[in-house]
Amino acid sequence: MSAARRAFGAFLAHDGVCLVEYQRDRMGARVVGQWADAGRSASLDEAIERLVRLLAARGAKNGRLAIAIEQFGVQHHVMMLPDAPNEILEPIVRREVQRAFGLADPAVAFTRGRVAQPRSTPASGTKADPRQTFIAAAPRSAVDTLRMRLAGRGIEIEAVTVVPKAIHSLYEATGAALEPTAVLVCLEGGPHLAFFLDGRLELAVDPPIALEGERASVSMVLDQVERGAVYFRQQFRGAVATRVLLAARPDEYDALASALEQRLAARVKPLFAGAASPEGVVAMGAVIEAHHSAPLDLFPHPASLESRVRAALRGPNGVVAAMASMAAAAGIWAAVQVSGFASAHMSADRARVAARMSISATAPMRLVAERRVDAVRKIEFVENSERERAVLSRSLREVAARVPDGVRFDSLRVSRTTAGWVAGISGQASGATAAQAVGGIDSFYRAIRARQEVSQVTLDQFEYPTSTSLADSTRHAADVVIQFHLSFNLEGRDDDR
Amino acid sequence: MTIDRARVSLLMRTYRTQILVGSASAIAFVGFIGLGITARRRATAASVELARLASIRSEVSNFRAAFRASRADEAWLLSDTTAVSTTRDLRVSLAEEVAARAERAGLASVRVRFTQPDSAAEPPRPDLIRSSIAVANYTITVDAAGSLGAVLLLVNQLPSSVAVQRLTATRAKNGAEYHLVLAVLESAGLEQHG
Repeated sequence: MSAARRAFGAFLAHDGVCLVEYQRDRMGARVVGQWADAGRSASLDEAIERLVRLLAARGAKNGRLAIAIEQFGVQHHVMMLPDAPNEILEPIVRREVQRAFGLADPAVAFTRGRVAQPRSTPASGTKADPRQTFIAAAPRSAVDTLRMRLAGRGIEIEAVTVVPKAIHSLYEATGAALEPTAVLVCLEGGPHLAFFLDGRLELAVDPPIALEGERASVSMVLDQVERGAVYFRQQFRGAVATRVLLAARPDEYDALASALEQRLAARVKPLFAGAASPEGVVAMGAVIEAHHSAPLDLFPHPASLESRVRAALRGPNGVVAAMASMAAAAGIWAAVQVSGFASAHMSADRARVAARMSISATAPMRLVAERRVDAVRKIEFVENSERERAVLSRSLREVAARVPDGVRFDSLRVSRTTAGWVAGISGQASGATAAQAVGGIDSFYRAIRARQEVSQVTLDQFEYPTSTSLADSTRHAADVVIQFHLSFNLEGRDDDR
Repeated sequence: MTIDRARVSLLMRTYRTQILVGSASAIAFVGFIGLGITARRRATAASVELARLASIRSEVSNFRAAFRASRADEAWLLSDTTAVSTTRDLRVSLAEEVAARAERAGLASVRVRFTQPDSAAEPPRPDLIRSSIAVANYTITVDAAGSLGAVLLLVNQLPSSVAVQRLTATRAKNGAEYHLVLAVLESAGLEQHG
């Protein structure tokens, strides 16, 4: 199991760099080490280099670091703004920072504080009520320097905040009592003073401009506090800080505390007892600020996956992302279909080859089988032909056998049709009387019709010929002669078999 | 509705990347869908082909399992001794055979001729696998005299490669005269081997 990650807080200023290592426990954060580099840094780049050296000397790798910065163009500001989305507030804040601090292209961070609550009129509690908005700003170059010099060192930067906000976080960590409170942090660069009323930051006073390398004396600090107290009283209808939270060097603390108690008639308590120097206190303030849900953080953290996804799925980007997703899904589907086709195609090819080989192997057997089938069909054909001829012969023989006396054939015609045969018989019927002649035809007609294989028997001709047309010596001259023509169909199949 | 060209131009410039990516996505979507549909159709056709080939293999397997070699007494079956057709080269021999059978049946004055195809219906043909048989484009006509019984005897004794298409009997002074039109079954194709 790997060891827990080490955690640090840092304070960067022209007048020195301070590093604090802490551990979290049930009571909050506990300082386990504090180191300082009191050398003066001409630039933020140099200050960061000092910080990096301090971290390296502590063997701090894979640690976490929260930083509070003073000077180097870093600014702090408080505005009252309605509670609105960041997209709306951001340009307003940016313009205000440009106007107030003269920064052309500032890096800006802001976070929301409590709802503004004038002492005379309680807040309505609606979203439209203005809220304190804490703003940090820095030249873009300063933020770029932070990002470039601290990146790739295995240190996770939790937050880079400003000193007043770190002090604010320390005050809130003490319980944020409703009692009017002044917080005084005496840094090397000058005293930072803040006044809190009803638990809310109402006034933050930066150190006065001092000569380079000149540390503010106790009297200068007291003057600064008194001026701030007067302004606080005037601005907030006689409000008087009855409590002072003090962070100062140990050798100055007692003198400052007693002087403050005398001049302000206020109780003085340490702001954060765990750190040995005011710079360490501010560093721990940065740590506390970093652990807020919405810290005032100037550091350009890489966008999280969630935020990148959200940004990608908003507005036109969302439409494009949806289209790209659909195209990707279609691509996956098409790939699956192509894969399925390739698989089926290969399987079909293999099956085709196997079928060909199988068919080739059975070619001799197939030849024998086909010859068997052909032989059987030929035999069947011969049998059918013989049966057809037998039926035709029998039918014609029986037709001829049923010719009654007095009826004779002149011609017999039989032609093949698709269903069998069509036959036509021309002949004469003679008798002593017409009745006998007609009776002969009728008898023959009935005999034909009675046959099962005969159908559609039609008497096409029935007439008495002239005597000149008859040249038959077999009949008597007085006989009645009738010429007739009979046609009928013969079925080709043999129903008797 | 008027189109604000400046606004459109501004939108095009503002969302240039989105428009390019969106257009590419749309084209890719259409392309992929087309490709997928084509592949799916071909895969379906390949599956059908696969099923057909499997069926063929199954049939072949069943055939091989069911096939039994010919016994010695079946050898005649595989020979082409059962002639149900003739060839054009043998038509004179066939006419001679018909004339001989007519005379043996007792008909007199037998005359055999090759004539044009008759208008009567064509006779049925055997449906063979290894060769095809067609009705020849000529007929054999038999004219003879004699009894009806002799003609019917001839009809029953005709070779299998001919079939009666028309039979006419006419009374004459010396008895009856007969006119038979015989269709000829001719081999239309040679036996295919392999």
